[in-house]
Amino acid sequence: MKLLLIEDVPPLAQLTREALETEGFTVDHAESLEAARAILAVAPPDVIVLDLGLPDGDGLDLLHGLRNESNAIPVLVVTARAGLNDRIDGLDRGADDYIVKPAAPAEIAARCRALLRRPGGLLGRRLQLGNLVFDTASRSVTANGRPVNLARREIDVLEVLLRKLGQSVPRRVIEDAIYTLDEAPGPNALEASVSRLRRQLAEAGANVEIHTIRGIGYLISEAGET
Amino acid sequence: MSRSLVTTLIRRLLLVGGLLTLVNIVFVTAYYSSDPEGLRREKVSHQIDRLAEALKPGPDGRLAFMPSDRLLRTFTRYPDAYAFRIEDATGRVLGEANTALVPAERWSVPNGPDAWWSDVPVNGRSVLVGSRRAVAGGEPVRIAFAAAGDPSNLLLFVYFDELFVHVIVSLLPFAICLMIVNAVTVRQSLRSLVHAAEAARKAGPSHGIAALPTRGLPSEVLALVESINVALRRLGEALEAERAFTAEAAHALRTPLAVLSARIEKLPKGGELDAVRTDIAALRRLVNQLLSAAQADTLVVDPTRQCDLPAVAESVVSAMAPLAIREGRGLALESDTTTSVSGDADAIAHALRNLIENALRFSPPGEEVLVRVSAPGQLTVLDRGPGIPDEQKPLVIKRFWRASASDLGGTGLGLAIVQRIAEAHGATLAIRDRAGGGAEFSIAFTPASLQ
Repeated sequence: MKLLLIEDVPPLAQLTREALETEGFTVDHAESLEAARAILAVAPPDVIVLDLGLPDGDGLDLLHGLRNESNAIPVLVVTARAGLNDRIDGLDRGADDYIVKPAAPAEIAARCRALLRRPGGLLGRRLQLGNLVFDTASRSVTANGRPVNLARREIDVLEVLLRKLGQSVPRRVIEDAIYTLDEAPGPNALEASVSRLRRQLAEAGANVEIHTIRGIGYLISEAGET
Repeated sequence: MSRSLVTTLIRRLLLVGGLLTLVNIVFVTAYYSSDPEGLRREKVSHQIDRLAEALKPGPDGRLAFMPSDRLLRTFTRYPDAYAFRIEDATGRVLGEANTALVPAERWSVPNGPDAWWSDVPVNGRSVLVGSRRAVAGGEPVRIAFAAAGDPSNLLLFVYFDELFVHVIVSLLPFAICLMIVNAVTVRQSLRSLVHAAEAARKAGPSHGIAALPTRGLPSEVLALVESINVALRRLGEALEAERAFTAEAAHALRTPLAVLSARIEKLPKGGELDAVRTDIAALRRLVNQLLSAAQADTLVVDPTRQCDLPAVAESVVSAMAPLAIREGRGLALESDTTTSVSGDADAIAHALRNLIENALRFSPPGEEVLVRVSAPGQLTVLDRGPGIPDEQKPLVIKRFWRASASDLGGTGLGLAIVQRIAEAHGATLAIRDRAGGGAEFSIAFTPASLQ
């Protein structure tokens, strides 16, 4: 996993880089927009961690430029600007996620992995959590190496939850992903699918847990992580 | 004790008016007492006027004397003191009474508008006779009146009549006009002062310190208001400097803290280092909350801005659910309204995050923190923690206040920030006991439709 870290404070850049390398990323570092553009030209990374306040300009300009070139590379913005308006501005300009300084490197790594788990992302093909592995190409699920037999609907639910690992997934996002426009699911259809999925995963010995967030949706996490 | 300017002015005017009246009475009295003959003639003249008023065209079309009982009573009661005789140009007597009081020749009056016989001696008394040629009902008449002494105090009537004409009729309307003009003028001049007072009342950290409006102020108070404006400006600058310092200090602390966190992450896990990590996390939270507090202090909500409360609640609950689950607590949202409220979505989200963090910290493991959005614009966070004793309810919103000295998880700023954000929205943070145990924090925002 190749990561480009754009950060101008030397000690912070150095320490973040080392921490991200420990987390399994190959890190290139740029301390200015100019350096970042040079690296992007010769060695495109899988994900970018972008600081906004840089000595030669605003990180959002670089982001804007990338999106104008139809470059869809995932970008995590890290900044000291904490206001919601900054966040909206960042997301409007094409940021995929946003994290406020000071952020722990582990958190940065987790967010980057989440971005890479998207369909088409580097980690998007084989989704893994605990002893559970989901191969999106063959649409097969294994727990502890043994296959788990799931109905199509349950597999779809599991895929959405795994791609958004560590995040709450709103009901309607899941419903949009698993039902076609013609299907009219009953009010409790999703609950029924999730409870079947829970039971089957438990029976298969998968050490994952699907949490209900009442009024919002669901969240999957590794069991015992809580 | 302060009294209305209008009241004071009216009281003074009444006082001055009263004094003027007294002076007038004294003056009139002095004038008449210096001229007793004039006064006596005045009395006769007055009585002739009254007699003339009783002359009206009769049923036959000719002039007739039709006196009131009251007028006649003077003559019937005092036959020895008053007498009169009225005749027309032909010598026909229209009315008379007690004519025996003076010799008959005295009743035939010479030509001329007015005629007087002073001090006619009758039976040892001095009688005053006066007569007047007048025109009543288009006919020339002659009215004569005689008085020996003044047992009926007719003079007093004259006197009061004079007072009435000189004091009441001339002074009173003028005085009333003066008071009305005064009251209106004072009120109008002070209206702009009321606006200034309104602006001064609102001035404060939450609404910003703006200069008081001076438009339309009377010059007498303009100097005072301008001095207040100078003081307000200095106060505003000081406040601004203090906020800027807090914000800059918190901001400047972030980078070294991030460096420190990253350095600690590199060290092996376990033992004392885990405690240091916890401490650094707490420090980081404190710095973040300090910055938030500085931002909340300067928050001025544009009342025309609308905020979709259920959507804000959904996004905050959604974002915080992973944290709650990591800490072994539940987080749920109950939203039964689609009402927008007037407010700043960023600030409201921030307040809700703080309320949820607070509720999660005090919730026992396994319990659920509930966020409820209800009509018309109520945002409530309910927990199943130990609850807050009544005597502590007003304290929890104070800065750096903690439930106990050992509670180091919180910064002591979270609820103060929430209260500040609520204030900026014209609301307050209400803290109640939750039915069945726990605490309930709620903010009632103004529904956008009411703006």
